[in-house]
Amino acid sequence: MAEMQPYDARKRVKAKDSSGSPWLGIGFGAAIALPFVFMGLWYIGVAVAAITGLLVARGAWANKTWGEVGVTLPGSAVMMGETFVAEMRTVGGESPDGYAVDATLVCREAATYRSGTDKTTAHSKVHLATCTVADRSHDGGVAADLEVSIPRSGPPSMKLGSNNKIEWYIEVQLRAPGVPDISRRFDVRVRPIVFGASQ
Amino acid sequence: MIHIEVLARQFECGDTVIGSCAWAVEKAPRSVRVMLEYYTEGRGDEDRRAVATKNLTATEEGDASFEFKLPTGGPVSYNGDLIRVIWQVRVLCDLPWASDSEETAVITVRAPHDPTVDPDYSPFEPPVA
Repeated sequence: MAEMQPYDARKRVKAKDSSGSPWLGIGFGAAIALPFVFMGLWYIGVAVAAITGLLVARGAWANKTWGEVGVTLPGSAVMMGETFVAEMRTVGGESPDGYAVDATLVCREAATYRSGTDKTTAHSKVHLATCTVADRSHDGGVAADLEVSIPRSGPPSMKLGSNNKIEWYIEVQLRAPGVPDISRRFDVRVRPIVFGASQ
Repeated sequence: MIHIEVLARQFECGDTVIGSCAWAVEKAPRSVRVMLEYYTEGRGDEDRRAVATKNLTATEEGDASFEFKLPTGGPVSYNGDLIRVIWQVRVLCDLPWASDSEETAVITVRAPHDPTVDPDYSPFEPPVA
């Protein structure tokens, strides 16, 4: 009867090493995969370029249709609790059939913080109110009166330093069937005084 | 030990903050200052600004009065989702070769309002320090 030999790992390793270099297989695999990787990257590049081109073309179309959007406020600043009418008017555009004007008053906190070497800004909308819109169409453009009410208890506009601020703005959106929507933002400066208080 | 006494705790923009302070520290300070300042807390990095500063006599013990005018253009005390704005009077003793000694008194700054129109006007309560 043959005597059982103890297992020798060194022998086994030696036997495996003698079967050929593993680098040959890796090189062969890479040579096969590389063209597919390049093709994939090319497809991704084409897709990104196509989407960017479509967005740019859509933006240009919207700008050409609607023209320049402007809002005139009653003064350089308004008070907390004040209700006023802002005039919205487009210049150099058209008034497409079935258009609609939406306006929203927004108060937003913006807080910037550093995380490693990056700077990130977090936003929170603390007030959101739909403005009443009265259409005042004019030849070759869109015009509307926007009734805006700043709440009495809302915060005023505050720039607290380089990291924190509270801002008020009117967001105007123009919509029409078959035409890209357009959205513009107009800053409103709210003074820290409640309407009706002696100044 | 530093003690601050402010005559009122609620103010409106443009009001004058009047008070006094007393200090007694273990060694002669390099400087003693009282300042009216605001700072932010919350998600963003801190913004801090002293709107008025008064340099006091740098002695180991002393007392002084102060009178600071709040800016009319704000900011106001605020407690929001991401940002808190806290106003305070701060007395700072700059001690050589030691940690500075300081004391604060938090105040509330609101927007001016008409009490006959808004009797219960109380928009923002700053956090208790």
